[in-house]
Amino acid sequence: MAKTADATMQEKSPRWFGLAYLLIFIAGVGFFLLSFVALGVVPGWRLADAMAAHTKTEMPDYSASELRGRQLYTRLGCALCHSQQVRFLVSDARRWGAPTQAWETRYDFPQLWGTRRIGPDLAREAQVRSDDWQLAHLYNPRWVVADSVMPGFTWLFHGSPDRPATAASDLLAYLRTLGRAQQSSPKKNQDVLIAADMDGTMDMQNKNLSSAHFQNPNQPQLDRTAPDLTSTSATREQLLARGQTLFAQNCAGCHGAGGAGDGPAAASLLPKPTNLRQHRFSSQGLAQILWNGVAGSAMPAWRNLSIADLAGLSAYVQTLHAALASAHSTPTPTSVLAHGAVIYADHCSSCHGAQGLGDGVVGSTLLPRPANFKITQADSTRITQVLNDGVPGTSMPPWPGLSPSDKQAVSAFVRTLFNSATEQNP
Amino acid sequence: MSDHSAGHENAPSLRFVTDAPVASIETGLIRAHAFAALASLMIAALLGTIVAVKLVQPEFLGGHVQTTWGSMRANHTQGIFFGWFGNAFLAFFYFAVPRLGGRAVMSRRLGWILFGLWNVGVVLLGWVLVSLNPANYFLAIKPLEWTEFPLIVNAVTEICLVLMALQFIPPLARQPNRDGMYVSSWYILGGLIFTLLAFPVGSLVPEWAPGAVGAAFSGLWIHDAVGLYITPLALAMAFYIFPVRTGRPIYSHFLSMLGFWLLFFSYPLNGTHHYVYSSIPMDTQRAAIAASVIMGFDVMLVVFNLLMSLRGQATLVARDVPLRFVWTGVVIYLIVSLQGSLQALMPMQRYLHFSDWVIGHSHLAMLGFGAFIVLGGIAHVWQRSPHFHYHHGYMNWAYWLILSGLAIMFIDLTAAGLMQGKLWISDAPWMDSVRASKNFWLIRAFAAAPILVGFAAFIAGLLINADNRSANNPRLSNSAMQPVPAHG
Repeated sequence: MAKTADATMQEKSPRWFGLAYLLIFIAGVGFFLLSFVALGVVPGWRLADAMAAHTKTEMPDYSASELRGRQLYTRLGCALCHSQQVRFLVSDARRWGAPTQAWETRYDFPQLWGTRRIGPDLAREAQVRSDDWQLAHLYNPRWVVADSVMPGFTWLFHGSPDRPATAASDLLAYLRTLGRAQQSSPKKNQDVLIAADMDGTMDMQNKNLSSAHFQNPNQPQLDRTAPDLTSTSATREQLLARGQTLFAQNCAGCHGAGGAGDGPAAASLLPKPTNLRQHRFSSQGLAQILWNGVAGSAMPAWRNLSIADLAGLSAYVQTLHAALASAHSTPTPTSVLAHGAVIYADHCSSCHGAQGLGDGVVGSTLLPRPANFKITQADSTRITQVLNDGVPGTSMPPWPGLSPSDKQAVSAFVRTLFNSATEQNP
Repeated sequence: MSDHSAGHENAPSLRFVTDAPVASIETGLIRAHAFAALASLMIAALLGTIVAVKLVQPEFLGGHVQTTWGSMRANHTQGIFFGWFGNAFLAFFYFAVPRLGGRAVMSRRLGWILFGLWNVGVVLLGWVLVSLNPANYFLAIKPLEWTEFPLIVNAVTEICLVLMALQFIPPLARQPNRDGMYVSSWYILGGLIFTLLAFPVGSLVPEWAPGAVGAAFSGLWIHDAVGLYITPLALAMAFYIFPVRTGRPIYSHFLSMLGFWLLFFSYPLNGTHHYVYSSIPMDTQRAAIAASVIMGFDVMLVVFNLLMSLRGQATLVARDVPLRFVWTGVVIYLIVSLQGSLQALMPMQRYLHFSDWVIGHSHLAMLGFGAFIVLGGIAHVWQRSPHFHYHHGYMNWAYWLILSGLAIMFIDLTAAGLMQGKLWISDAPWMDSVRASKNFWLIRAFAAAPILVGFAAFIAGLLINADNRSANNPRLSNSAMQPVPAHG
């Protein structure tokens, strides 16, 4: 029967023959070439020009380790949930900084712009977080970000976040490159090269976006200023309730659910998270720490939280301190304090400063900065522990040369430096 | 009107539907590809479900590279794209091309080679390599949307696309069936050739072109994958099935022409709308947005033409499950395309880009438009092929289950996207948007249940025979029950 059909067809007009080929040519080949040239080749040339215009910018290519890390990033599907493209929009630039320029992607084969954001954009991730934070987060994201839905990549480690395999180290090295070129580039190179295509308003807006100073709200900064968190209209109950929620969401992973510095991430962080039960903080001190973070440690800044939220968090953290009855009952004799002051002046003041503000001559070169005793008051047991063992991960050494009575004296002295007047009364 | 407008109003006859001779059909290949398609659909849908569950329970199946979110997500989308749609289109081609061209496909042997290569060398190899996650450049997963499979798999895919062109284009191009519904033939020819060229560009150029330049080419393929592969081939099915099942011609020859040419002109120029507000030159972005709007108008023409072809057929559409599947796909095609035109606009991109709104959109396109038409196409092939089992009742269940699951998922993800967009432009910390999404993600995960059961019911409908294969469609019962060669 098929044969008959063939025979019938042979007699038909051949006009269709040519039409079908013409069709294939125009629809399949022609329109493909049109789109290839119009949306690929031509903008590609212009982007290549834009990249070439920045060849004078210092922009190192990826190192071997960074490149391996980048490849791992692609293979693990990171780009499926994390874009690497800050768009030319105020809403994007406010969260992540200057929009992503073509020249920054010069060494990116293939591109990792992404089309979905479940997690935040990572184009400007370098320097925002500490290495130990990043590794703990890669190992189990929920250890540091309680509500994260990111998978943990435990197979890149030898059993714990502080024992990364080469793969995890490579990935970390790659994360450190994200936005590196933009951060180190001199300002003149941040002109918006697509500006010529834009209308006046957009052009202005983009120039502002690209040149405005920006720091990621979670990136620690060495700054003493902080907003006042005490002048709030909320009631104490409201503050504590909000603070408790925020503490569980943002702090408990490292500082522990009860604040004892024993959260799941704590073991792999260096320096260790502060045991909030052993420390009193002045309100001003907490404001500073929350607003600026602790540079040189895994403690991020929390400038992305509202002032009202920070006030709640601050009030809640102050309630975590479990004051020892004995610490307040026996006043330390003046002679002991005087002895402590001498030891302090001899051994401590070069780092912690004459007034205990953590601003000694040597101290202001260290990261993390030495403790500021005016805003933080550790319990005597904690101070003794620090004098015995030092603080691993910081410049604070152990003090085996001091006798127990010396330690007691300097501990008592240091505690007097705390400015309790600024502490919010519970 | 010339003789060549057969299949349209005023055409001399619709011999194709009634008594046109049909070239020999490769029944074995139809079955093999259709079952491979449905097996891939089940696997890929299960992978999608697991990925959805992981967004609610991140530790679920965690801790291994084989089952990590990224691997399974890539296998979900690529499985749908190659395993499900690729096989389903091939099954339909083996049924329809001999009818459209009046000539057998090039070679049965080639057919089985293609079947083996596609399923082993593309689908299976791709899934295995993505799961194993090797570091080798050619074997490693790519971070490029709609072409995540490794380069080695892409090479096999390209070979298969060439083989497909060899298998199906000559019978359509060399020996047209005078009464054939050539609109379908056009879409098949255009879709096959375009994809043959666009796929290597999308898979290779971004690997070689730096960052932003590569992204411009990625944008092309992201849109071409849906617009020039899924869309024309699904439309070929719709333009085939409507006249065959109703016995009535396509409404307008002119609109068929206009719709076809406008599609092939405007769809490929949409690509850059995936990177609005990026550093790709702004006028290129604007051109792509303009093309996206033209695309919306084009779809209105195409869908108007298709739906007008069903004038007065409401009872048949309601009763006839394969026709209802395709009709639903066509209606969703209109909805999803107008949504696409709308969301390509800059004011919408500001808020909705990167959000779950887009995930809802893509599921409406791939499941609502693409899969509904393809499911209708497979059901049609089964019902009209002698000795093939077909069960009207299961098919009907499949239709309602899949449709309800899709509706829940689409509404849920759209709402989630609006919420995310609103939070992202506010001062709220990023994690607020994740926390607020969790309930939406929970509903989305549950929406998978009716969809999976629906797919299972559909497969049951192809395996279990029932006497009612034609009872629901008395008008076509004669031709349906005829011995070989069956028509339409």
